[in-house]
Amino acid sequence: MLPARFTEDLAQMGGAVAGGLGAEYIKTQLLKNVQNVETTSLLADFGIAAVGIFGASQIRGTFASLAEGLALGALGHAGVTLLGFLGRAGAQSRVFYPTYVSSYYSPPAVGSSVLEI
Amino acid sequence: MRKELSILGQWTHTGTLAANTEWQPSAASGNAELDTDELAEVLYLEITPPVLPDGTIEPLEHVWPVLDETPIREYVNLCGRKDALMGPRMRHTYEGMIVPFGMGIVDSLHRPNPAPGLTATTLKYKDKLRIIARAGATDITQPFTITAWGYRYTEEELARILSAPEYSPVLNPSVTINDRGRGRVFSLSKAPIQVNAANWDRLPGGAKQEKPIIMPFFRWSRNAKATTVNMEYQFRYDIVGNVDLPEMDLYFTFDIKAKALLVKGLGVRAATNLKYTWINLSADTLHKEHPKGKLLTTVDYNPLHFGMAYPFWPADLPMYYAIPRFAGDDLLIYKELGYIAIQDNGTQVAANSVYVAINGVLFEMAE
Repeated sequence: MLPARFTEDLAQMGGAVAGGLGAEYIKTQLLKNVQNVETTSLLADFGIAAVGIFGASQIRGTFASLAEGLALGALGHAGVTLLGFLGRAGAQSRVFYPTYVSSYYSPPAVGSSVLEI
Repeated sequence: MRKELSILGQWTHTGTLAANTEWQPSAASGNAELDTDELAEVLYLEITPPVLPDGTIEPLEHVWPVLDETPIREYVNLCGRKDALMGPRMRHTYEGMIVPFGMGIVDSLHRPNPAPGLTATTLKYKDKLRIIARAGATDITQPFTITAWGYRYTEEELARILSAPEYSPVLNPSVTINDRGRGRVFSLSKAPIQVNAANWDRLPGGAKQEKPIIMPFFRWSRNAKATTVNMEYQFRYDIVGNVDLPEMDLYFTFDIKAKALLVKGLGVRAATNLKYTWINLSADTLHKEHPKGKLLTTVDYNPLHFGMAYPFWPADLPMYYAIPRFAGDDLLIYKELGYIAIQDNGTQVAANSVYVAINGVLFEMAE
């Protein structure tokens, strides 16, 4: 029989993995056709975390640690999403540049001053 | 930066523009006056056409640029109607493709480009730019906007850019076009021009060139009369009633005039009963119709469609097609009679229903 503390830690780790997996599954599978998928996913992460925290507050023992882990995993997933937001906010915006009809103003071939038509 | 694509001028008309009248705003009203030591070249004219709230297109039919108070309507005549729009907003063009007046001077003089006379045909001015807008047969009541995009430099800035080894500060406008299939060569000889403020408007695309003149050529037309069944319809101004204005003449009598036109694009907006569109070259001993066999252009199948993407895309989508490349290559009209023609399918095409547009480079030699 493993010590209770060790069991609880394992449960917490398992919960964290499950929380992260679940959050990622929700984002990539359940929300893939949603327009603001990242914002919605963020809300889902916080929702899972809230469930985990509430669960941990209501029960004792190994299952409480599992619930804590679930919350931690979901919040970790939220952190990754927020990091993506911060990265994009700092990047330059893409600017549209018109392209020209490619062959309209092609100069003659290199080395030749004669336009062959 | 070597060049900055910027707005050289913008004019917005509000109120009513009466039928068959011209609006001639000043350069100052469009913020299109240059400083003393500045030079500019117009790459593209963007037109936001007038449309009634119910979608009815109002007839902004002609937009002509004026370079340093020299009108160039015989070279550049753009249609501003929403359906046959020749200057759609750059963000609204299919695949982002626009047809500019030419390549900017900096791009044209980047080595190797041994024939900048063919490419450096942007509209050049050194003092002020303005436009003339003419209404068609009915009043224009809705606002419209014309925006000139291009590059502006100070003389010192341009000299510094062109002093780099990868550029040439001298533009050699001489052009040779070898039309191998038809066994002929077009040669235009013109002395090299130092690119500076004094010579700016004498470069290709400038309004003060001495002959031979090299200018971009943009023109549109419409069949003012119904077609004659199974006969070609020519967009000739000298036949009374075929087209409305001389600036819409697509009948090039270069057999008697010392001019040549290098056609790069041809567009047509088909109408009911239209079947064929082509360019006819009278002196061609191989086949007078180009492309050979004519080009099928109907309301259901039109490879030359230009302007508003409708009817091939939904009408409420603000998308436009540029004038298509003609037959995948350039076509030379030189020392011959050349003209754009259309033909119906055995039933008349109604008057004022087919729009055609052409673009290329026009050469005017000394007589």
